[in-house]
Amino acid sequence: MKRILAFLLVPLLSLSAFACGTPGIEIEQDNYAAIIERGYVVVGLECQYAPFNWTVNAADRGETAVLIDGTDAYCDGYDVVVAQAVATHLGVDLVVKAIDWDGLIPSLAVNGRIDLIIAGMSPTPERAETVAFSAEYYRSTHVVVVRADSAFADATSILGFTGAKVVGQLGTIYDDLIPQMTGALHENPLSDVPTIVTSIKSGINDATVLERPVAVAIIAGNPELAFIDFLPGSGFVVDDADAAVAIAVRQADVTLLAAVNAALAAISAETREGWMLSAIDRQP
Amino acid sequence: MTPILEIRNLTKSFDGVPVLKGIDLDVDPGEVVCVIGSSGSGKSTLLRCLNLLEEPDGGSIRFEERELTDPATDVDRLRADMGMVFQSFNLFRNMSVLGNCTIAQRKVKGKAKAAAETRAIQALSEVGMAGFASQDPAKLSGGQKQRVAIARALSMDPQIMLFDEPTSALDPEMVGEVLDVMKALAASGMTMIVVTHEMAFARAVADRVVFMDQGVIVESGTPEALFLKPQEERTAAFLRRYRA
Amino acid sequence: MTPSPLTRRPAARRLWFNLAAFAAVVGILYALNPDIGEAVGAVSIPDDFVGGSLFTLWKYAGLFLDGAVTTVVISMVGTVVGFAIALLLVFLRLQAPTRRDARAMAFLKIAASRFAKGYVSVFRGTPMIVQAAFFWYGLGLFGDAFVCGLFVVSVNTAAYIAEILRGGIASVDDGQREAARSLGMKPVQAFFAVVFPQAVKHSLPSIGNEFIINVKDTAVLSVIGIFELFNQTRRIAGIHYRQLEAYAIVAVIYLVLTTGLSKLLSIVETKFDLPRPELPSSN
Ligand SMILES: Nc1ncnc2c1ncn2[C@@H]1O[C@H](COP(=O)(O)OP(=O)(O)O)[C@@H](O)[C@H]1O
Ligand SMILES: [Mg+2]
Repeated sequence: MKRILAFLLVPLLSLSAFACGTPGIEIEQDNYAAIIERGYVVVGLECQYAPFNWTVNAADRGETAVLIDGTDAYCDGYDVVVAQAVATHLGVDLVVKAIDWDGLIPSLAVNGRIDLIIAGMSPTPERAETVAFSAEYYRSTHVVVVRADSAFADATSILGFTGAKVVGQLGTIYDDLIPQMTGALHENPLSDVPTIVTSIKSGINDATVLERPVAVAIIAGNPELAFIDFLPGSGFVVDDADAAVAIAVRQADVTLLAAVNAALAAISAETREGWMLSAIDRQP
Repeated sequence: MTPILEIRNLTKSFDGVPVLKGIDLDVDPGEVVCVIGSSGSGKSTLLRCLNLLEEPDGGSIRFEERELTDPATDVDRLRADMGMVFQSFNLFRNMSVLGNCTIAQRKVKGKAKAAAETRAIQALSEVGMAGFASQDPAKLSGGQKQRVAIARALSMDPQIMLFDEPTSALDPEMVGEVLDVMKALAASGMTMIVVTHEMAFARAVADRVVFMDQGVIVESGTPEALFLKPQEERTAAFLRRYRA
Repeated sequence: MTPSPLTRRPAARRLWFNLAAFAAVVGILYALNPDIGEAVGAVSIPDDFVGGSLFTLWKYAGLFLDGAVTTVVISMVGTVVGFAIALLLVFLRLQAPTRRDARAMAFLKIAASRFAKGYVSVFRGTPMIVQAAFFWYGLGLFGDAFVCGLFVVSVNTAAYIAEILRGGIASVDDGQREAARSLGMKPVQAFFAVVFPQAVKHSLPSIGNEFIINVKDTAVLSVIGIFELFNQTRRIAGIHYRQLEAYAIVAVIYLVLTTGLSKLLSIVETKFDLPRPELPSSN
């Protein structure tokens, strides 16, 4: 009997030994000193949103790729380059965690498992209720992705999608922009961009709204798809906050936010554009 | 002589249906008592109450000067002194023949492995099964299984042996080997209560035969008295059915 | 147990059949895309399905392998720890007061049994994906998703194995317990020396099935960000935005894992002379 109990208790106890969040982080406090002391900053992103972030083999990784925490795979992309610049500015190591889109904000603001979100996230007012945002670190236009042979491939205005089934990513600006495409059918949003791409290729949906760099990355691996740029006046009307992407921090992390902004301010507009172009280039 | 077992006014019912309706029975040391009676008359229930596999509703059972029905009595201790042999053998399927005969010695009596095995081999020799010690019980014939079951009970050095129709589940050609073992055991002076339908065995071996019907002891006496001159009509009717 | 010559012959035939089927698949692949070398050597993903699949498999074999290893490890550890927890659960579940128990003891026994019953209902009555999300995002008890995943699979599997063991115990003839008790063994001794080993032996094939079910069902742990096989595949699909190819490959990997493991288990079962497994069910 005693032996059986010991058999049970050992695994349970060793499980409970892990039962706490990231060491030294308090959700309600300014953790700047703790992070510097600890010597690394934890950044969350999806690793499936090229060219902002994507997964790469150890064997194929370039210099910019960073090991994904808890795996043998690496993450590369524009976000990773920015994250590295921020970490270097802070004088700490960079740790990258791959987290689903839905889980990013809870992981930052509720569980404290990550310190920053650098994931192509737009600083919308709704998100800003839960987290604080840095200055923007990229700004892009929004395009529509369709099958190259579809009737909608020739559209020149967002009003040219009457009857098209248009789908966006759940909880993103893309989904919020679809109502501007008067006459289009607004389908239920899907959880990630790869799934949306598949649904368009298979004909379940006809179109989606994305940022231009993402669309470029998609077309590279899927020549049967095409994206449509719109001239000013016939494209989407996008709030300033929605056109930009920014880094999210916990609201209590005021010092960290200031340091992140300082890091971003040190990156010129030309450097940014260069990073994005080479990310699109690197993207497999 | 003080009886080793004294049963007084034992009652037991299942779901409100009385099965034992006040049984009185004394068994002296060394005595062999055979219990006969038609199926459903309560014979098994009586045996099972004796070592508390069934909890009696009322009455008393004194065994070795101790009251079994008293909640303060260490029943497990007393059970070790009562060997029980079941109709369906109930050999432990997860152990060898030897394991069957040593496990209780070790767990209950705390005997060392070697001592338990020595006693087990001795008991197995008594039933002619010593050569099968390392066998898996599933590979034995019915008669061999029942002999091992007897050896398993004997390994505990019981004061009394309870048999519940030990040959009823056997093919006819195997009945003899088991009855022979039981005869030898009786001759060695073991106190035994045997529920059986083997009238010839009862007549040859029993010191006393008890006839049960519908939860009561109808009649008891020496084999000669009971078999040749039954006093009760119910006994006579039962015996007529068996002779026919 | 050596197989009789009669059973050996169909087995050999089955082997030939499998080899033939494999050869056919390879042949079809070859016919569809004569230049496998070009597909796997390509710099960017080929446009067609077969080429894209071969390219994905070749290029990301290491990532698929990592995922498969994680999946098998979580399933195996989860089944073993789940078994240990299940032992405790059935022990609690089988507590029943007897006439001889004092009041407090009787109350404790009833409480223990109710707890185990409730545990089994809760974990069998709710989807594992909900349990995972609850423990990871909801309670936030764990600092490490992998550990949280192990915990969830273990506590979940425990509920299923507890029911399997309870069935196994019920299937042991009561005469076994009575014989042990008649020799003077205490209830706990009779249980652990006689009844339980037989129950476990009866239950092992079904517990093996739980392991295989776990290999499939741990896919839901992607919800808490563990890089088991399915989640790993989602990332691979995201590299080139090509899901069809990645999911086709992972389906084959899962199939190979589950059929391979069930073959392995049935070899073990024959070797230890265990009863035939029940039909695989899904949690
Ligand atoms: N566990 C039980 N539950 C309900 N009824 C029982 C149980 N055991 C025995 N009985 C009933 O008690 C009666 C006597 O049974 P039993 O003692 O086995 O008779 P015998 O051994 O003389 O054939 C029968 O009617 C039987 O159906
Ligand atoms: Mg009977």
